[in-house]
Amino acid sequence: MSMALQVRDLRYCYPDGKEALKGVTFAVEDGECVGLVGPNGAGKSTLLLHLNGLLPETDAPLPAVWVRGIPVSRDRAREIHRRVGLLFQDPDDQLFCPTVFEDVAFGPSQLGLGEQEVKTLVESSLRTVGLEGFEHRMPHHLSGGEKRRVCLAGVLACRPEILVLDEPTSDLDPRAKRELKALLGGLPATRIIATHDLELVVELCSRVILIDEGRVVAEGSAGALLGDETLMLAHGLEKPHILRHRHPH
Amino acid sequence: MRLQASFHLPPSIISRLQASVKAAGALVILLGIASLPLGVPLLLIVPVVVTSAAALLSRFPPVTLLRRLLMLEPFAVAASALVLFRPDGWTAFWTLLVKSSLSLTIVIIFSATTPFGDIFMLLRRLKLPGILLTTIALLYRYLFVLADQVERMRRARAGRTFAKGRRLAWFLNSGVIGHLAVRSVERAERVYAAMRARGWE
Repeated sequence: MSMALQVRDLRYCYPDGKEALKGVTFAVEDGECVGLVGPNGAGKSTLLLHLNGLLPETDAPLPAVWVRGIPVSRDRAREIHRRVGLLFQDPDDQLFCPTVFEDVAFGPSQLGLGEQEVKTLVESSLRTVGLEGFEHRMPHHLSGGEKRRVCLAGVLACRPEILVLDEPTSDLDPRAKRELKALLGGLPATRIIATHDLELVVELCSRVILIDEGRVVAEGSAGALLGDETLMLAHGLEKPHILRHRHPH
Repeated sequence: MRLQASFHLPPSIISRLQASVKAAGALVILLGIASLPLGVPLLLIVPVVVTSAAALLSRFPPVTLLRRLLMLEPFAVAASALVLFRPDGWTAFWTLLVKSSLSLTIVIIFSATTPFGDIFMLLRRLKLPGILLTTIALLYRYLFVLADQVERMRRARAGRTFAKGRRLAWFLNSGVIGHLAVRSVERAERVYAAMRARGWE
């Protein structure tokens, strides 16, 4: 299996001097679904911004992130943005166009595709997320779950090979969560999901990376890592209920 | 503060017209009004009749139309006041004030009978610069997000405010405005990141 993503000794300091990442190293294989867990302020969101090439603002002397062997840098940013789709935590940050159609079409239009091709892509992406016929709706008229799915359609329309999702189920009601979970589970792309929703990680992710204070603390299968109650409590998390009540029979 | 996406007028001959036809019509009327000479008040009868007909055909409730016009009227008054220094000052002032008010009425009718999406598409067809279109689209989109945010912050403050007084209200409102400014800057950074993530350069 080939490597989709490699991160080697990634360090990042915010302009105010706060050290957010202190040497993060991990790799993700093609087709894998990896959960990224950790307490608030662990550096998850900062890490995700690096995977899509949005950070660092200026190139580091040595690259620390490779997407399918391509080092992430300013001059390759366009290619990296296309290969790695990033779903932001707050849908209102991501839905910046006046209508659903324009928002989903935003990425493909930047890629220089023809009008008809963009239209087809928008339609198929909206169909994938179950929002056919929403093209002319305005983002502020959508429910939280619908907004999240439009965001996902906007990312899918760029046909990324790797999907990076920042808290995809936050602020969603149980039904919307369930629907989004089913949707994410059915996507063929390599997925990296940063979340506090540990049930989601157990259900979707084959592997989990635990980060805290800007470092990878542990890595392993979802069941083994999230089932370790001492480890979970030590890093501001909890053993998920789904593992707590799993019976041997 | 509750912001409405668009003011819903009942369907009318004007609302059914294509945005481009409406825009062209509005432009012709506006140019007609602008070309009328100052100091000949009688000539104003023509645009008054045309604007009233447009208001009637759009089925705009008169009180709502008037209220919207009054909100914009200070600008018309300020602009018209500049001609008070002319020899025929007062006649020119009143003529200009009526002309500005009629023009504003036409713009109000046009914007209320045309969905924002249609206006935006029209501007795009007219080949307006991309950066200007993006700015307009973002402005429209985030007006609602900001209005919701203001409402949430205002409620949260009101929920913990037990004393009354204008001074306190001003103090609280200034706090809300300050926080909103900081949050808006932060949001702008996140929106820009989201745009770049999907190929914006």
